[in-house]
Amino acid sequence: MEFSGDEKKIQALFSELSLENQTRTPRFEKLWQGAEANVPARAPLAMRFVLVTIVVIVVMSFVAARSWFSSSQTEHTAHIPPQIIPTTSAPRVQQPEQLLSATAKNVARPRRVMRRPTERTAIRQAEMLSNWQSPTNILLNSPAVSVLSSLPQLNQSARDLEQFLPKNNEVIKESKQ
Amino acid sequence: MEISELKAELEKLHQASFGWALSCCRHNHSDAEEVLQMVYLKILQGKAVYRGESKLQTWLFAVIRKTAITERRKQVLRSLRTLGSTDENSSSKPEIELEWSELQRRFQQALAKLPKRQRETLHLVFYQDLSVAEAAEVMNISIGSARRHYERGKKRLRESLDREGVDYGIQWRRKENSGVVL
Repeated sequence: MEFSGDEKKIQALFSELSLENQTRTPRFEKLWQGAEANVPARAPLAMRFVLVTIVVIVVMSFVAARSWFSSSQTEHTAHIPPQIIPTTSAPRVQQPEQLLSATAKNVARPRRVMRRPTERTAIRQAEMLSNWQSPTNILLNSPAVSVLSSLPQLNQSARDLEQFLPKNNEVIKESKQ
Repeated sequence: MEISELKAELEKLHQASFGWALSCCRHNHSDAEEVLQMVYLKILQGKAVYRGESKLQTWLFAVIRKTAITERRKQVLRSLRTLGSTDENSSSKPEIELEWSELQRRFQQALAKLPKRQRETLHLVFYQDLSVAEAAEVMNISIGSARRHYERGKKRLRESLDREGVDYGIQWRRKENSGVVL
């Protein structure tokens, strides 16, 4: 790099500094040998190979054991029979064939299903939930429910329909009012 | 590169490396020696590997700089831990400073006042004769930043020397005409 003007003067100061530093510089061999002395002795190649092999075997056996353990756990969970929890206490409408087959099964296998306490509580809770009614449910009922449910059918006779018409006296009273 | 080849190259660069290590260690001789030895140790252990992607000198200087920074950090942490106890290294610095000539002492003072990056750039350019781009590579900064540090550093150093009353122009002329008999 070429310098000019003040740069040359600054460089002169730096080169003077460089000359002074040169007299103080320690010998290269001294520092290099000092570094070499501090290098930790490396284990022989065969020893390192044995160590690496042991580590690899340990890691592989650990992985294998873990995978075997997890697979056995999944098998165990797969053998649990599916459980049906009834949600309502209301009797289901069953087809006659189903009833027949059910009775036949019951006859063939009079085994009593033993339920665990947790299942029992779950069933109880499900029943409670299905029977639950809102406290404001009563507000949905009205006196006109019976009238609405007794609407005449289209094929009823005209005389039957008359009972729904207002009577003459009631019409006069209403007009007077 | 083989270690024997590398050793020969490092030996050639040893003077310059020590100068750079001194600059990185704020001209503390023992610290610079320790840092340089540590750099050689890193090379021997294979922790610092030269891959030939840049000039050997710039790579080596970058390793020295990094090692010096790490050592400085460790020193600071050590001093924080042993806060209150007597500092063993405190006596080494003045001893070295006494050896400087008056002019060099003032120059060192002016240099010490500069920010670290500016000081490093000036050292790499004027002392090590590297280009600004190479200095940027050593310092791991962009060329634009290195150029900015170089210009600002130069300006501040000039101002500082003028304030100190260092007639460095005379020194320079004396150096240039050292062989001339008046």
